[in-house]
Amino acid sequence: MSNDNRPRRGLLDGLADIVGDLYGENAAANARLAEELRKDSAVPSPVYPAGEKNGEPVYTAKPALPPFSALWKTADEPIDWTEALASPVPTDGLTAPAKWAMYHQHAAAVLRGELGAYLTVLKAANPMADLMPYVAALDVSTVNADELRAAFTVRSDLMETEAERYLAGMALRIARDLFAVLPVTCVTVEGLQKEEALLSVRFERQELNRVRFAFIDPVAFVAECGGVYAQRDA
Amino acid sequence: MAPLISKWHRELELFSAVKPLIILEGNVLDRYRYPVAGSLPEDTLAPLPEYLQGFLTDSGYAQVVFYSNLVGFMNPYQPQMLTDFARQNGCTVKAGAIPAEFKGNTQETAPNVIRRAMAQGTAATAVIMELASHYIITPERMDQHDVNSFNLLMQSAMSAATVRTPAGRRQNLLILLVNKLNDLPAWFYLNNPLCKTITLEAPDREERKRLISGSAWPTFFDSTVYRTDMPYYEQHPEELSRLREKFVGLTEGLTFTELDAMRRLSKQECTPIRDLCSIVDLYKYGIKENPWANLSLDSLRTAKQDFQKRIKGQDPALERTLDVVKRAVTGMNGLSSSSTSKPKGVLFYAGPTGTGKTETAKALAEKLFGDESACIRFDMSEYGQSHSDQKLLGAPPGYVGYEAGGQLTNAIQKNPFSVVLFDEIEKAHSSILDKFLQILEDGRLTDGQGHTVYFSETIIIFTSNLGMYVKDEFGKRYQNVTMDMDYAEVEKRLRQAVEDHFKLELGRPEILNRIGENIVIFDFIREEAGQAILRSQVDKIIRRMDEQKRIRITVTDEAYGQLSAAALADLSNGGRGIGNQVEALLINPMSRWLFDNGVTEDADVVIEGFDVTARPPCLRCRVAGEEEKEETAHE
Repeated sequence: MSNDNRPRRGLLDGLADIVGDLYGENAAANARLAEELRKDSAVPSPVYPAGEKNGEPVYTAKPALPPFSALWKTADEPIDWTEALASPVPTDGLTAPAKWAMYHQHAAAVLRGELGAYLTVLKAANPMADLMPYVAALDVSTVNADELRAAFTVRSDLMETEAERYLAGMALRIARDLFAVLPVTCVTVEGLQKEEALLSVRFERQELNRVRFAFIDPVAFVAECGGVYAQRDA
Repeated sequence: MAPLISKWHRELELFSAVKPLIILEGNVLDRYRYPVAGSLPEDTLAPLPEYLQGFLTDSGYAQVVFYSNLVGFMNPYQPQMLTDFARQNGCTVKAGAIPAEFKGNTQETAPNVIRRAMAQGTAATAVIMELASHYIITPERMDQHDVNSFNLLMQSAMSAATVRTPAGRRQNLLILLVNKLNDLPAWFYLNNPLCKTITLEAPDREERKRLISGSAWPTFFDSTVYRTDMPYYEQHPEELSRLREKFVGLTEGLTFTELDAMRRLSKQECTPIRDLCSIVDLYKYGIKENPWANLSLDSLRTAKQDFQKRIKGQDPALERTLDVVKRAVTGMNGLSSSSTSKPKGVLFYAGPTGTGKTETAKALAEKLFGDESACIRFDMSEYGQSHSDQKLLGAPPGYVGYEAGGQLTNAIQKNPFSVVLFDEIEKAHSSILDKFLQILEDGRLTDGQGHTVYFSETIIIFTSNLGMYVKDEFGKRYQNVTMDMDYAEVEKRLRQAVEDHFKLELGRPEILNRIGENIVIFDFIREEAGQAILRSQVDKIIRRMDEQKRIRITVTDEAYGQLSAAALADLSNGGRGIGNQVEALLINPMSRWLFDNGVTEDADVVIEGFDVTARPPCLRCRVAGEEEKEETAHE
């Protein structure tokens, strides 16, 4: 076990910019994306060249992001660290061998709760990449072997309607993704606007394990988890 | 950790070098733990074909192909081997397989291809014939094509070439995977010097121990559970060792596939390491909370007094019964045996009729599981015919009643935590005794539909009146025990009679051995116990009348004395006999009197005397405050 006094190390500083570059190559695309999000519909699939065939570029669509209203209903697939520890080759028949090899390499350290391994894995697995279009910035840090802390800066345009739903849904989704990637027991998520915390909530893995996400209201669930909303300016 | 190689693997290694035809029979649909790192990582649980692929590749075979009569030749693990095999033997690969029928007249039937492959000496080749039990309908009804096909396989083995490989010389090899050896024609393997049959069993204790202690250990747990729980067990290895030992004991007889399913279930349920064994309950019975684990020790401490309220005059028998329960609760019931899959306890109740044997079983069920209905009773006099085992376990497929399953297996499947009472066991057909042997030894039974039920959470009780009467040297029956004998004498004689029955009459001492020292002898109901039984029955009647009809009955001392003298005059029928007397002397005349005098509810009735000599017996009774009226309602 590590102690709680370790300095918090930011991992995804600047990641928003990188992913922003990936998802929206120009201002028009950004504007269209924002417009779509405002409409609460599915984010359009960005198109990028995936290779060449017979001298012609081949384009493939990035998988569509889930609609904003359902973002928290899905999450990344959990990494099975005990399985990765036991076998150097994928045992699930689904994970790419290279990715599995990375898991296998770090499994022992992750299962010992080493924070360095946590950060390495977070960097390599990059579980937040697909959430970047929904936030202005996102930062994840380790508190100790049991706990992670994530802070996301909200997008003002997404706060215009259903602010609470946006905050709660994002917090829930971030927690789910972090629980999927690392064997921590709790995740604290903060939603920030201009350095001011709009929401702070601590999720316990055990509670989330019991939840059927298809049937819950994120606002109510976050409230049940003790989420605290700050009073926003009119 | 030194590699642990199973017996069948060692046999395969040994005989694949000297016999070109190997039949693997038995547990062929299971997964197996690959013992050493090679083509597969160490301790991987792989299906048998994948295991064989790994084993043969690691042994130096250049071409390994699988044959199924539905698909043809294939190799889903190393497709290049199939391509090489096709080129070598002049076949064509279509959609990932070489189509080939098992029988027919063409040169492209599977046995013909196999014969060519086995005879060539260029590439060490192994052909594995999967599901070989299903190539023919039955070995007894083979047509000429079937016979020819098996003949060709035999010839293939006879002409198997030896090939030089970087790993040394290897003989081309034909391996058949069958569920049962007799699915193949006997002439194919009997007295065939080219053939070696290897039986695959369910994993033994060492194999299971290795699975739970080797590299697969972490995979039994969710990542977070493992990370948070494991440091404690690293500090307390002795606890971990105990936990693993218990798990190994509880999983006796289970296949690797079942163990693997349990492993995944444990992970899915985020089972803490300390609760690992609860996953066995979850897998076997579908519940995690084992009632045995929730038994209140305080309640057990008062069990003897509670039992004495229900069962009178049987203190030694109650003591012995509770000893078995205490052993089960303290986990000491497995100490004398390596298996923890056996029932929690086995008791054999013998003694005169009406002495409380069945009642004790019911009281036990109520004490352990909170409900008398957890005592599942089978009257074995209904299972006296030779086909009775089908009633208990269900008819085999194709027979009438197959869908219904077996009475015993259905009951245990529905309620695995129970006291199972086999009443009057001596009346069951001897074929049933074999099933009991299996229950007592393995703790499980499989019904006609293939469902396995487990008895490891039950207490099994047999009751019997054996030994009450025995035959003398002329074959004449005489009473072996009588009321005038003391308990020690009764116990000695009945115990001896039970032992003689199993050893000498049935010739089945092994059943007696499974029961061990748990033969419990119930004593005759003697005067003092009889009084207690009578008092309890009369009190019960008075209480019920008050509760249900608000008729408050008082029995005068004189009347009670008359009733007692009559009811206890003959104690040879035990408590049941007393009950019969109470019914005849009290209940029937009382109801007659109430009916005739129009007393239907809310009354105070005084019973002042009984006339037990009258036919039918009658009583003297009055409503409190009124004149005495004699019950005279005769037809």
